[in-house]
Amino acid sequence: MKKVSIFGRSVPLFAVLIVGLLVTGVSAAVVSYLSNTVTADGNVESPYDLKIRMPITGLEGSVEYWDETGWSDTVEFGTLYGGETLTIEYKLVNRANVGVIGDVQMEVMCSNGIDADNPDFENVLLRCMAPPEYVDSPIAFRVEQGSDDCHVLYTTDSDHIFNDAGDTTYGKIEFVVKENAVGTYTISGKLIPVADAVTL
Amino acid sequence: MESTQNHNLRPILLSLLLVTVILSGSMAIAMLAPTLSNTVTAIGVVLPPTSQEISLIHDDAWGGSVTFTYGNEEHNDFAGGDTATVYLKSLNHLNRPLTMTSIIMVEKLSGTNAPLKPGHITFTYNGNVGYSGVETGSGIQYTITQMYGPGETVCDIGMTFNNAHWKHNPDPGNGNSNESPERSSEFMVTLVSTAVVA
Repeated sequence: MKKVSIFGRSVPLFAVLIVGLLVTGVSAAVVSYLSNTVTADGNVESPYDLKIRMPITGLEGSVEYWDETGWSDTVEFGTLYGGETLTIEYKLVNRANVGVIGDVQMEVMCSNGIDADNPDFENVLLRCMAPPEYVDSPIAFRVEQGSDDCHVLYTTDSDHIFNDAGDTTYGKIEFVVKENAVGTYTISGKLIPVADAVTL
Repeated sequence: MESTQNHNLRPILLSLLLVTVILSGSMAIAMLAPTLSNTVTAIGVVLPPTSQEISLIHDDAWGGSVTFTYGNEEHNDFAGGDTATVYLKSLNHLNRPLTMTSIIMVEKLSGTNAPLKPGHITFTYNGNVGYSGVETGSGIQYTITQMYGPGETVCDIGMTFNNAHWKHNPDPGNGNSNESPERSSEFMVTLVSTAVVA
């Protein structure tokens, strides 16, 4: 029979298992005497809701951003020419009771391939446009090579302060496309908060 | 004996430790995931900001290549010194000037077997000379670098057939030694490529 050593004494393994089961059973029995059991169920959802749309023509200034038309998870920007600027508007809702500090990260994929050493965009800028108290200098994205030659990662780099608790902000991201850039582009973006976000 | 039994407990303890680490990792991932925002996606196409086409007519029949016949075997009116004109239309979609480099290939499709040489024709673009051309085996390749404003621009390519090679036949049929070495030839002019100068 197998034995184990406990406090310097040799004890059969079978006896150790029996004692363990008894302790477990007794613990379970005791718990029911302590109190009734209460249960809380719920879902933890992302506190940040990010939406995008193409700019709406016919509206001007901040009125444009307050308009609730067309916000979506996906947009098609159609066709543009190399050398032009692609503008995509964003809406960021903070549903949490703490502020958002983090970075926006975008992965760009091109059907013709894309190289971080010679990226297809002259620059990429994020501009917060509304409400007025959030309007600030544009945030530049830096570029990194993605997982392969078809992906490049653009990210803000400064743990930027985005929304205060419960606030919604509006802005735009501008992609200045190089004149020689050609292909079908897919741009995926998300907000990555820093782990120790604090109330602003 | 005691040491051997302690040794037996080691795999059990290690397994428990491993399970604990895996559970802790899973919980950490489950807690972290909701803090990211949803992902948004934009999809679209980026086209070149410029395009070019060529034609024998100033404002019609644009395409990637043209063919024409120079000279006339039957009527003996082949005259060196004449100029054939091909038009190059450039379209700049941006609202600022762009510099483009165009490669034009001139080939001789029929006539004598003598290959076309850079010295056989004088190439001009918009009246400007100085295009020497590069012999490629099938013809002569010319490179044009030019700045174009926004919108559409049409310029002319002139090809003057040099007297030294394309001679006029003033008196056909009388044994005159001044007979042209090439009475007529068919030529093809092709727009090989267009690129924006960075």
